[in-house]
Amino acid sequence: MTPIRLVPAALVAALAATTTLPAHAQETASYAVTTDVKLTTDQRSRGVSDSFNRPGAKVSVQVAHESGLVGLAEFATVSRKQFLDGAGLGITLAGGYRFGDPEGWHYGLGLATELFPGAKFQAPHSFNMETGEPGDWRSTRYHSAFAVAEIGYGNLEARVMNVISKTYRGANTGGVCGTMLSLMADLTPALACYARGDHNSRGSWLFDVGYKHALNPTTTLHLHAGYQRIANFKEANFSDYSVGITHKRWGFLWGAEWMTTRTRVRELYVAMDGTRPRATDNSRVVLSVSRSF
Amino acid sequence: MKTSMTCLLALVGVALVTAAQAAGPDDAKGLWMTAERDAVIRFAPCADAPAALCGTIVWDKDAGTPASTCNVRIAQLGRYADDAWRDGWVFDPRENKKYKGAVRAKGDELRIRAFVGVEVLGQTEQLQRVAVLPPKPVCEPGS
Repeated sequence: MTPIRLVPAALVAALAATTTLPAHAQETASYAVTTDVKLTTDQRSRGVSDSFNRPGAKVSVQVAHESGLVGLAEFATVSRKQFLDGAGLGITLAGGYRFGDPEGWHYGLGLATELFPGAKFQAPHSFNMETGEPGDWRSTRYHSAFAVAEIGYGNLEARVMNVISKTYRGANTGGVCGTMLSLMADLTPALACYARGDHNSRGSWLFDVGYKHALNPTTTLHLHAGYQRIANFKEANFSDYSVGITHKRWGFLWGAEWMTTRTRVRELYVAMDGTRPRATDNSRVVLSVSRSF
Repeated sequence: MKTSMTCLLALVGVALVTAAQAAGPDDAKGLWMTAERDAVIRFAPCADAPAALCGTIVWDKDAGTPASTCNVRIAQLGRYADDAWRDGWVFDPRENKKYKGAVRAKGDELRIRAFVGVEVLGQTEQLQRVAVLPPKPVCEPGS
């Protein structure tokens, strides 16, 4: 959970009116808005590049109300070579409720959606074993929706997300089996995938555990482990790990994070650069700089 | 029996040491340097409410300039409970924002938590204890 940076509850006019008031005379904020702008050498999600291993940018706006209600809107650049026909944009919208003691047990419940405007792909949802021809070509979007639960104790935090949309990032028979069919040298796994019938990935689970440790007032160590279990497509299950460090300086937050994945079928995380396939799940160090407003 | 007694004494000793190390209300008092080393805050009983704890900027790297925040009260906490000063507010003078607050001291670290509503909806700033103020620039009284 990204720490929020508190911003006043007042509107511009109200702020102007309170500018000359001493602190004790002001009202405490009833809600906070945080805007973060982040530049990164690679826009990764669960350890896999969404930006085709290239630099990316992300703008996040978080709103927290004193009732415990929180909202998030996030806009990130993504590659059109991975999110085909899209606008090159990934949007995350989330809302929920957080409660508890940040030094002790704390919890969160919510709903989230991940949208990739315009992005979709065509893939065969069946394979005729007699003729050797793929069939039932259909279009699938990459949009996903989740139910989210969080639990933490101090700086240790865990998150579980259940996919409530029809697919998780387009994982269905066309997306998974079709990709395996087109990219794997050995067709046996792809044919076995098709032989299971036409499925979607509703009900998939995403698990994350993170820990933060302040090395000093300006430097923090970040550890993360994640696992995704994709319903009906065990080929797409994988885990990811990262170790990172962030440092505050000159009003910016500087980050360096080593990320790695343990994917089962790497072809599912390959995107085509023209005619050349390129992996997006390689281990690498990702650098970033961000600023809160 | 002798062994049990030794163990018991050792446990009591550990408990006493632990108790001695546990944070108390006075631990937050003193001078604290911000993470970005741009200001020092003095936490002490409030002049106008001695049972409360107040935090005041007593050194600012911008002292003597229009951006100076010298002598601004940035926190006031009403009571000490569960290892933290609570029931009060914290104030960011550079952005003119005031939030609910909690202050915790542990050894040479002080954590100031600013939040809206419930403590989980907030941000923590970590400060480090300093023995003396940097020599320059100087915050003039009433500046």
